[in-house]
Amino acid sequence: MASGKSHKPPQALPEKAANAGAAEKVRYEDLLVRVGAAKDRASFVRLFEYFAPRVKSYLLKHGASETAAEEIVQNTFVTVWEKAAKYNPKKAAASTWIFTIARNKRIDALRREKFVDVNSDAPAMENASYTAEEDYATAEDVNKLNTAIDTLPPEQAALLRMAFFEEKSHSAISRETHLPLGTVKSRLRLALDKLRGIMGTGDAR
Amino acid sequence: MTVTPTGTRAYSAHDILLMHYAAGRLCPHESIIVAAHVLLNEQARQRVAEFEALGGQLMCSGKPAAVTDECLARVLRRIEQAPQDLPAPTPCDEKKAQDLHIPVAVYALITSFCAQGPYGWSQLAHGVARIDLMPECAKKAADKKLQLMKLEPGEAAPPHAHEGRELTLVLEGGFTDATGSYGPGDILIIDNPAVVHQPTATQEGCVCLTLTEAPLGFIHPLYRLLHAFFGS
Repeated sequence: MASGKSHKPPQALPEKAANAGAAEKVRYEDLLVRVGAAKDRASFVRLFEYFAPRVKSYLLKHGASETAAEEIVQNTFVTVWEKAAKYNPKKAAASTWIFTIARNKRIDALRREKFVDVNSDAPAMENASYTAEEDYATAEDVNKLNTAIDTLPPEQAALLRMAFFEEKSHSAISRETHLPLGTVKSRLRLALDKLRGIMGTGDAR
Repeated sequence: MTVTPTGTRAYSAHDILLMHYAAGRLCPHESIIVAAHVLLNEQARQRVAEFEALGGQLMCSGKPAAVTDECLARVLRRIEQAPQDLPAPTPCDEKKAQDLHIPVAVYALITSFCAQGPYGWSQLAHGVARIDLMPECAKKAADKKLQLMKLEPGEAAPPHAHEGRELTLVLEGGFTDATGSYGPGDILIIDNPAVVHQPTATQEGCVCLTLTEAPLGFIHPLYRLLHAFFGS
């Protein structure tokens, strides 16, 4: 479970605890739907409290300064508020949806920083979004994925994190972990294949 | 002309590119071309969605970083304001996209990304034309160049090698080179300086979006000369 407080029973939502039987895992999707449907500020604040520190941590890991990270967090959540009506819980997990918005905000921020003369105010990456229409990784898949990450052997999980988020080439990982390059590559492939298998998209590629 | 065959279309290079895109690790130039690839290619879209789901989970399972109270306060102030805080999406000119022979979605992406919209084609060689996207930026971003390239039906680009990585996304038509055949939505990744290739358009011609990260090394002395005058 993504939350560190997973020992708690599912919390009833502030107003109607319609999904009292649902796992705590789906709550963020419910909150997001509520923000979209009813512009519910309380749900929005709860989403912010959970996701904002995680989005910020992701941004800091990518080398954003403290100030820049907070600014991108703000931009991300303003967009979460504005776009929530388009969010469909059947088609994406809340974590995926928010992560993608944050990722795109970061790309746009980098673009503004590096190239002052480009069309810098336009949120270019919004033209790249497609997640609202398609359903590749539902909340259910993502919950399975999360369990899968937890069950990966620690060395595979660590490699996966390094390869995914850190600005490290496979050869840098190889140097750092003192593992042969081939081993790094094959372990990563194993980890990715395992996750893909769990998400039910285990096509041969 | 010797053309070096290569295995650079390996899935791993493609998978890694998509993973880096999903993780937000590519530079803006690379992001824009991969975003266009993802818009056009169902398989890439699926793969990126998987990586994005993974990204969301890794983001949530990592150690959170404290956010200042001011951050939430600002967000709440901003959502309080006029809902149309964001600039309107760039109006997309279907006619222009059609004239350029590129998909409307990619046109919208390019025009929102670049200060200069894609204007007229400039002739590079016989049957080969290009449009430099954001030439000003290119100067600042070392040798990175984002371009639209057009090959007339059956025409071949000058044979060239790449000192840096080259990404070529087919937008319309297709081309063939020593590495294989590519159609709409396919992306060719060349990151091996030993590879010399000469894309040849199919009978429909070919329009591509290309990103080169270092000057091209033209093989033919005449092209080297032209290159010296007209730039890559």
